[in-house]
Amino acid sequence: MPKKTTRRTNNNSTSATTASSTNPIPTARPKNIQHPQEDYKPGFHVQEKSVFKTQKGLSEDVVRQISAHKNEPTWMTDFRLKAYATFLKKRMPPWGADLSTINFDDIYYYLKPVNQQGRTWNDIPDEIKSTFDRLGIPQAERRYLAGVGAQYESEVVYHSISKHLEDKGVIFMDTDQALHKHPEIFRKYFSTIVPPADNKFAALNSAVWSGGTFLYVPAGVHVELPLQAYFRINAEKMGQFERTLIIAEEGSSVHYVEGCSAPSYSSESLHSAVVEIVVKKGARVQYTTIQNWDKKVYNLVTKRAQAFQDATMFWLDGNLGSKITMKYPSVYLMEPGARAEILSLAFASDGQHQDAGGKAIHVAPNTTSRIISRSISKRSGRSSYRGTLEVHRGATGVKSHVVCDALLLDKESRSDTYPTMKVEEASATVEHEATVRKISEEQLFYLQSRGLTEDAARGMIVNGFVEPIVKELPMEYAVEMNRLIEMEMEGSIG
Amino acid sequence: MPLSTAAPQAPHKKAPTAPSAPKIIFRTDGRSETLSLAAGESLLYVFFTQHVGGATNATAGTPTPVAPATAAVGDAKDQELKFILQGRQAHIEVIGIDVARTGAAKVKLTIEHAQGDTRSQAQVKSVLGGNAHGEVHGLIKIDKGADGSDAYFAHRTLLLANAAGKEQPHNHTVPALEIEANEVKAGHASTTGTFDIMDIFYLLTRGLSEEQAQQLVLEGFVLSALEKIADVTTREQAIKAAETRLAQLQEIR
Repeated sequence: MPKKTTRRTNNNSTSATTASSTNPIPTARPKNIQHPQEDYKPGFHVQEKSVFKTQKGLSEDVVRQISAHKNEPTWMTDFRLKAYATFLKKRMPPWGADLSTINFDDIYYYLKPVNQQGRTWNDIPDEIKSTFDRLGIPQAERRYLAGVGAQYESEVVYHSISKHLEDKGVIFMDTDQALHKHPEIFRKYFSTIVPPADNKFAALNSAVWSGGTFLYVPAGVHVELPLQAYFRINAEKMGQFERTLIIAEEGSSVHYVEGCSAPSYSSESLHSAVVEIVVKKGARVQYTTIQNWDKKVYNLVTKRAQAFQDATMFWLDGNLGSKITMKYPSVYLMEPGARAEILSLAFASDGQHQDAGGKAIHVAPNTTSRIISRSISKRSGRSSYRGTLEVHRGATGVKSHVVCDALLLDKESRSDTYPTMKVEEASATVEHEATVRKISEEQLFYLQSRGLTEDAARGMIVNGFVEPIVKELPMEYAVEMNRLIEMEMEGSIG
Repeated sequence: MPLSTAAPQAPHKKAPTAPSAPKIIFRTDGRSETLSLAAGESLLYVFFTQHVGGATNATAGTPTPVAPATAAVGDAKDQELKFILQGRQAHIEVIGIDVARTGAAKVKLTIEHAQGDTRSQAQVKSVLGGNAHGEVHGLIKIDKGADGSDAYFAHRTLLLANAAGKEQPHNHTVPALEIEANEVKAGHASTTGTFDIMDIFYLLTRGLSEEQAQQLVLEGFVLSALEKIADVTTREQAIKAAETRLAQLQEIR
């Protein structure tokens, strides 16, 4: 891979200099976590070139503007307005992380960077392309990806689907487009899994949603390669409200991967997404997220799936960045034979609070669930596992197993576990266990006696600790994850 | 990987200290209380829950009361038990027994390690039949600086299934951890289920009836928590209380 060189200005001012359209100049300082791509330092941004931006803050007017700009059908405009009214009525969650510093009036809710969506990489403006290049989608890899969707600001700028997928009838496009091109399927499932009234942030998303992925897999179709999408928050005080809808028809299977990155800014950003997934009879959906938002971002997400007969829903949730994350991927097991697997990885460092976990709701008999959570807290970071396991009346023969392990690296670190089990059927077998500990002295001693430095030994142990989750990631993410963890572990002593 | 030439330090192992005879508290009235333990203090706290509401009488031999329970979960009197380990070498052991066929009980157990080098072991065993509703919250809190704390909480629930279509017992369990010190050992476990089919099968092959088999397993489930109590008086008191409650359970089975 050719080595890329970083270009820097000579002056040390952090204000954005006007960039030429071909050579954007990074202006922000690099942060602790280094992306394994050598020259990429998360925290850079390119000079914003917006085309349409709503005024700061939220109002009925802003909601109408967004809908009008997207040329949406009346039913969607009405839906948004109703959701906005719900948002105003709903209160902030009385539990979880501290959200008191969010100022809803101080955010831009919509920004559209280019007029047309490109078909291939070459159609995209250079400066935006450079952003993706820096995120590390090497040219050579594109062949191996079945499709890549990338969201810049609030619109999906680039989306390409290989002919292979199209021939199979797989629909993979941004949610805005899907509303126009596939209204019947869209309307059938949209907001049926997460209604606006579910919680305050679902209501907010329902009112101002923009972008996100719409993925429809027809019956019997197996999509072998993971489908990926990248997100970026780039403008100052920009919110991200993507709405993702995935429908897997009977007997189909697909793996969707979501990885995020956001540059550094002096004020907070808000990310409040909603993901709805329907897994029909015998189908399998895996949804993998590696979240590495800048440490100023509030990441408040509602992710929910419904699994039907003999279907499997697999959530793999990696939370590394953001200032505060509140996210609990859930699976509702609606029919017999349905299965839920939730793997949650959280790494909280200085000033971060990762409040994550998972929920499995057993509505039907003979359903199973497994939740594995691994969390690491470093310096003053706080990692919390929050989960719910419910077995409803009539759901006989349920088996569930939840294991949460937490690693505390320093004296100032904090770990919490808040699991809830509600069982209303005697024939259920529900097991939960959790441990919190620090890195074992014996393990450290052993590795050091083999000649490793303490840092290297710690890095190895932590990578081993997260192995059950990392091994389920697509290879390039697994490598990235291991490197990110090693880098985080460097200098973790003293 | 870089090789280090510095000699690694062997892990430091503490010499075990001789335990002092524990103070014992035995409760069956379902009261709430907060207790602090000073340095070196050791406490064994055994409690039996009180269920509130539910059908007031059930004649022997009749199946599960079909009459609705008169108390919803919200009516249950919260039993709040808080233990604070304030001095080094303090040690608390909690044994809770919750056996009921009707009514609701809510127990909120909190164990706080305010100082380091403290130990806690808490276990709660629940047997719920009929239309009983049990709710157990167990919070282990280890404060900043309380290094050397060792905490464990286990909640095991045995649910007695009723005939299909009839009301079933409910279980709601929330074990929680809030850990702010890192040189600690903390864990919890929670299991909910009914009789293990293999346990019953084994006893059937030994010539017992299904009822007898279930009875034995039930007794073993509850009494195993109590049989290890060192103090003879308390042990006998606890076993007697457990047996009374188990007998009450039988009246409707």
